[in-house]
Amino acid sequence: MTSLRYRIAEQSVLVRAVGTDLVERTDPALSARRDTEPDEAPALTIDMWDSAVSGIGMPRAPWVPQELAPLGLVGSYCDSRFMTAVDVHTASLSIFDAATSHGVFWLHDARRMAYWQSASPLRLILSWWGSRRGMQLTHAGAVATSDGAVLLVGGAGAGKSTAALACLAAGLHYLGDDYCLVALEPQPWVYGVYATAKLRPDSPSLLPALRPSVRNAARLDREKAIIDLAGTHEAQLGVGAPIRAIAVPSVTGRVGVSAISPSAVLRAMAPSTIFGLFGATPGSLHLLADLAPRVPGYRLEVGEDLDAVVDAISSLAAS
Amino acid sequence: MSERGFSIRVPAITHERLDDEVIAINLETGIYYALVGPGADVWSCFDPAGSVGGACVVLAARYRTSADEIRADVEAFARRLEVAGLLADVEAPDPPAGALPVAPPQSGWASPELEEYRDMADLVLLDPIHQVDEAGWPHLPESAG
Repeated sequence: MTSLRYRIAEQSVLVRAVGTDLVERTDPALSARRDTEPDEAPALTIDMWDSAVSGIGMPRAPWVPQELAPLGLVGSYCDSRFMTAVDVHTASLSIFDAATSHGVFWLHDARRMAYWQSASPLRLILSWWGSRRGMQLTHAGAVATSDGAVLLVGGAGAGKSTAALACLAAGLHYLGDDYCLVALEPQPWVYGVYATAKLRPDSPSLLPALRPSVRNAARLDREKAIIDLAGTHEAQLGVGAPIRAIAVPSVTGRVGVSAISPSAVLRAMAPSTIFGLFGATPGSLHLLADLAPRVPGYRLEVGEDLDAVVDAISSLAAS
Repeated sequence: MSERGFSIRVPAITHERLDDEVIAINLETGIYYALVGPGADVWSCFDPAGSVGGACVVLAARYRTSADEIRADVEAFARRLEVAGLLADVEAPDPPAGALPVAPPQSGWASPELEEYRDMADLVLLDPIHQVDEAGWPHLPESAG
C-alpha cells in the first residue's frame, strides 16, 4: 500500500494505492501539492488500484449496461450521496461517497493509463468532492500576478495552454492549463490542482526550456506533450488566487482584448466543463452561472507575439 | 379537454438563465443551445413546466402585444425545443407558466431563435452500453497507454 498526502484547495487529501504503478502515473501531476507533514484529518480520502498489475480483479458490475447514461454516469448508483461513473475512454471506474468524503478509483491496467488521464488524474472524484465544498472543478487554465488571477476558459484548441505557458515563461504564477478548482465565497477564487501542461508538439509555447520536462517525448507522434512542471517551476506553482477576470482565448494571429457579456463567458466555460466531467453535478452550471457576472469577461485574441499575450493577461489581472 | 403544455426534461437537460440569455445543455446528445431575448422568455415560461396558452398570456403582457399575435411563434418554438429533446410534451401543468425577469425585454417581440452548438457532441458518441465486457467493465481501448 502506498499512501500520499496532498493539499488541494487548502484542504488535506489522502490518496492510498495498491502498489506503486498507479501512483507513479498519478503523482507527477499532483506532486507539487504534496503535504509531507499533514497535521489534520483528510478532508478527502481516495483509494485506488488497478487489476492488471495488482492482480486484484473486479467483481461483476452490480448494474446492467443499460443503466449507463450516455456520458458514463451509472444512473442507479448516483443520488444525493453517491456518484458513480464508468469511463469507457480510459477503462476506469470512479465512485464518490459524499457522506464519508471517500472516493474509489479503479483502472483496468495502470501501465496503460491514457496520457490525458495522467495529466489530470482523479478528475471526477475531485470534481464531485469539490462540489460538496462550494467549489467547481472547471475546464480552465489560470495564471496569476500579485494582483490576482485570470481564468482562461474555452474548449480544446482555444489557446488556454499556449497562453498559460507563455505567462509561466514570463514569470507569472501558474495554476493550471486545463482544470482548476473555482470557488465563489468569500470572493471568486481559483485553486491550482495539477502541475502539468498539455500542448500540441508544434506549439510555439513548447519552449526549449520546457522540453526536458516533457514526460512522453517518445510518443509525440500520437499524443499531446505532457509537461511536468513540479520539478522545474516549483516556485511559480500557485496555490490559489482571487479571480480578477475571465478570458476566453481564441487563436486569431493577432493579440487583442475586448469585453464580452457574462452569458458569452458562460457559453465558453460551461459546456466543456460539464461534458468533460461526465455531466458534472446538478449544481455545476448554477455555480458557473453565478461566477460569470461577478468578474469581468473578455475575449482574448492570441497571436504569435506571446509577449503581447502575457502583457494583455497581466493587464487583466490588474483590472 | 385540457391544453397541452411542455416541461423541461430534467435531469437530461441542465440550464441556466443569465440576463437575456439561456444556456441549455443536453447531456444525452452533447449538444448545447443558446436562447436569447424572446427565446429565453419562452424557455422561462416552461421552467419547470407551463402551458402554451399560459405562456402566451405572460409573454403578451411582457412584450405589450396580444396573445393571439404571438401564439403561432410560441407553439412553433416549443415544438422545436421538443424536437431538440429539451422539452417534453405534457398535459397542462399547474402553475401554467414560469417566472420571467422583472427587467423589461431588451427588444420587441420577434420569432424566437435557437442557437445550436455541436462542438462537444463527439464526447458522447461512444456508447457505454456497447463498450463493456460481460462483467460490466469497459474494454481497454487499443489507443490508450
